[in-house]
Amino acid sequence: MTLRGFLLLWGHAASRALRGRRGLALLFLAALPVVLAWIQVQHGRHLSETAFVAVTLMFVFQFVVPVAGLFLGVAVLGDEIEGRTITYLFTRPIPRPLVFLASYLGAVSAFAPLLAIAVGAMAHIFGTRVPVTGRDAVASAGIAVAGFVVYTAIFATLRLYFQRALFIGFIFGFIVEGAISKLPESGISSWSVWHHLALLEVRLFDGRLPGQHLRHLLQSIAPDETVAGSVAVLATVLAVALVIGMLQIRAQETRLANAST
Amino acid sequence: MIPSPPEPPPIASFEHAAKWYGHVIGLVDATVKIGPGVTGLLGPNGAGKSTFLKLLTGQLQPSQGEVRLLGVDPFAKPSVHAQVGFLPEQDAFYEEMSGRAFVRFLAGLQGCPRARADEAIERVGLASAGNRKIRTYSKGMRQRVKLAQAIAHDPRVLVLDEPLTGMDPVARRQMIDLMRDFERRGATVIVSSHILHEVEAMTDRVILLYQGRVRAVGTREEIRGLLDRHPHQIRVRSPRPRDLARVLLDLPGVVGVRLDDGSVHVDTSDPEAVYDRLPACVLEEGLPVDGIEAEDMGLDAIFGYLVTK
Repeated sequence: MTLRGFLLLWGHAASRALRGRRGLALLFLAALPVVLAWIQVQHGRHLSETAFVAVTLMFVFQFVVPVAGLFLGVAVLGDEIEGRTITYLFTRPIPRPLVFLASYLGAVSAFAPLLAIAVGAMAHIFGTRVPVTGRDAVASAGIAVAGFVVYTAIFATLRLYFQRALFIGFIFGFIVEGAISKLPESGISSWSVWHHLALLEVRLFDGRLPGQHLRHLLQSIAPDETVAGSVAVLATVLAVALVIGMLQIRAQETRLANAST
Repeated sequence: MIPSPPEPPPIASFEHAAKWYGHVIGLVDATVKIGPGVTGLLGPNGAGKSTFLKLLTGQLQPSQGEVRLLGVDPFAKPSVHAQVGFLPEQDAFYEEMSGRAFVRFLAGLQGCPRARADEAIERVGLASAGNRKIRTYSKGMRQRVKLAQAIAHDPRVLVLDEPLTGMDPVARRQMIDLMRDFERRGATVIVSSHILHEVEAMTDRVILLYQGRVRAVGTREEIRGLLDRHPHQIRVRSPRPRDLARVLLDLPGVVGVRLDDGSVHVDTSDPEAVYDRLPACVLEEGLPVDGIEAEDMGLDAIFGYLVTK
């Protein structure tokens, strides 16, 4: 296994990630927050100071990021399995876990810049009416990308277990995560990816957000929860998802090989 | 007494290897050794050829027993693929790529420079069409591009799953010549087919598979001998079937005839004799014949015979 082979696979996956209808859908998805920001700034008479944070939390983190992660995650090796081209990759001198990892990195690196640009543009548009600094824009884009990277790893691994991973991912991303994040009293809300993205975003604006406006949105975040803690949780989820995926693809050959029978 | 040198290890071996998918049997208790040269894997559709080749190329892990390729377990050691080229049966491609880009990408994963990929494209006769998208290729061209990606890194072992499917006669000839060329250079070629005469054209060594089992391993002559003892059926169409039937019954090897709607169905243990002598008999008797065709040369019929003999 050469580094060149790994990089070739990475580039191959990146070039295929945004092709066809999925590519168009993801471009549309990335453009949505920008359009939403523009509409609010142009037509919102009484734009709240928390408008940027609210859209980031409730639209970007809760919709754009998991949907993009779902679409690209299930395609990480899903496209190769369904197209039966996986045979070519599995008959090269490259360990299967690395095929999975390179494909994942390719998919992530294809969309992450678009997502970061979209959040940055959204911050810039809101910045004309409400206080959003360049640092806020960069940090928010980084948090969105972090969420996307984690969701993509989760859904890429789910795809190795389930053929209908898109459906299962939808249930997980919107119903399970949504329900968990609305259970603040039990502490279970901290089990959702969204919770940690929200915490990072809120801590970014610590002391600058009017107390009342976002309280109903953020009541799930406990005062003792820290940025470092959330970063650690997200990093752990990412690592665990990728390791499970890599072990799964190494061990379970029947379903994958049967796809090419 | 000088001890004889130890036998060289086989290039590939199956030791009581079995594979099943749930309740479906893919391969049962296969024990074979494959050495250098061209070896044909022959069997009707569903015989277990693809399972055999997937086990050999490490795409599947045996449910039982052991598979070795170049001395290692190909499922556990993907590094062995640096010395193996594989042409899969399925018609699967990155359709939006050009043939050249496809071969360059897959050869690159083997650690090959682009020049080697381009050489392979030329070798399979796709140089002029190499820059076209694969989705515009004919069936024969798609087979060639699959072959190019399998040979670009000049493998020690070439595994070809139904390589002649969809190829015109010229391309078939080229494919067979290429296999022979690999054989001359000391490589091992393992090629599957469900068509007997295709395998005969490619190799002298044959592994017969049927219903997931290895039924016979041997030279072409040995396999032919087994098959020739099978009573064949030949259908001869004529406007005078009764007269024709009488003549046919006198031919050597003919064990029975049956009349049916302007045709005579001949059961014979020596079909070559029927084909050789029928024209002369027909001319002598002045009998018109509209057509002759073998009725049960399908491998299913032949293998069914082998299994029940």
